[in-house]
Amino acid sequence: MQHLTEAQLLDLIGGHSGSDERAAAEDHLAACESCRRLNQQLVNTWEVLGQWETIRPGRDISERIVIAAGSRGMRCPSAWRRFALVALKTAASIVLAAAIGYAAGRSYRPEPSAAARNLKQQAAASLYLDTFESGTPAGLSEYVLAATKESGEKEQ
Amino acid sequence: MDALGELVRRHQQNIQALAYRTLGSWDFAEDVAQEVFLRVYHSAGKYQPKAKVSTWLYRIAVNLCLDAMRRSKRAPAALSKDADLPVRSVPDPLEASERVEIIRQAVADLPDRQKTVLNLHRYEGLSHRDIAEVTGWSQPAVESLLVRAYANLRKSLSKLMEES
Repeated sequence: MQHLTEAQLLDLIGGHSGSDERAAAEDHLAACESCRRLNQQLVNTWEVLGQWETIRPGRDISERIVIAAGSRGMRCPSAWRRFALVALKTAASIVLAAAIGYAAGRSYRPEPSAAARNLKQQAAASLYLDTFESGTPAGLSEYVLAATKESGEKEQ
Repeated sequence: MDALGELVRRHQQNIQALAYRTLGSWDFAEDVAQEVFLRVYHSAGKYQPKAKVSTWLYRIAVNLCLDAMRRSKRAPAALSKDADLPVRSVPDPLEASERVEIIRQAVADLPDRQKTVLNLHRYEGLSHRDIAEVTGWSQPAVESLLVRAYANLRKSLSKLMEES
């Protein structure tokens, strides 16, 4: 004999079983002690739960909802316009800041700091390039010019 | 707007009761109900006639309640506003309110998903299949949750059941 599952019993108690299912379940319950016991426990639980009534008289919220629906609907377009304006201002600020930054970066060439110069000289010395070291990009020509001038003076 | 008002009047009791039983507060229940109907109003075009309107409303309400319960786990005591407000009807008011409080507490102590399916089954009268449709969970999952919910309640309400 196949027993009824708790899910089937709950369906039966909730009144959702079809007439055939209900008849078959009732036949089984009449013959099966263990299913009958389980069914009785579920029916007791069902009935006890039924004592929790939650009717709250006099609370009609339909008017409040209709008003809220109207005001939310009207608020939407202006809220959207405000949002669009703020987004536009933010985007414009970002573009302007980027343009100013780019222009400033191109025109401003800072003098290297003393520490950076020192480091550069140390690096050049370690590679035996310190004689070429100069503050300008044309360091080599400067060196050559200086060396030429020096040798010219000696020759004289 | 008239149609919205009519829809609210027809379904507000069920939606508020479901939210109250799930969240334990009439204030939150009213807020949930309002949000349900406003969402319906603003997305009425998305309604698929193959589902019953009540199923659609329950579905939105269940999701809002599950969200609220998740939020309340992060901020405890948020949903206990008028949880001590049992409700009326039955002969001896004092004894009845004590019994209602015990039942309310037993249901409130259930895990969220069990509480949700129990409320839909016991108090909203939905079949297992309807509950599956409302929650978006499979029917076997719903049945498993229901069986566990009733088993937990059998234990926690055993005293009341003996008295009855």
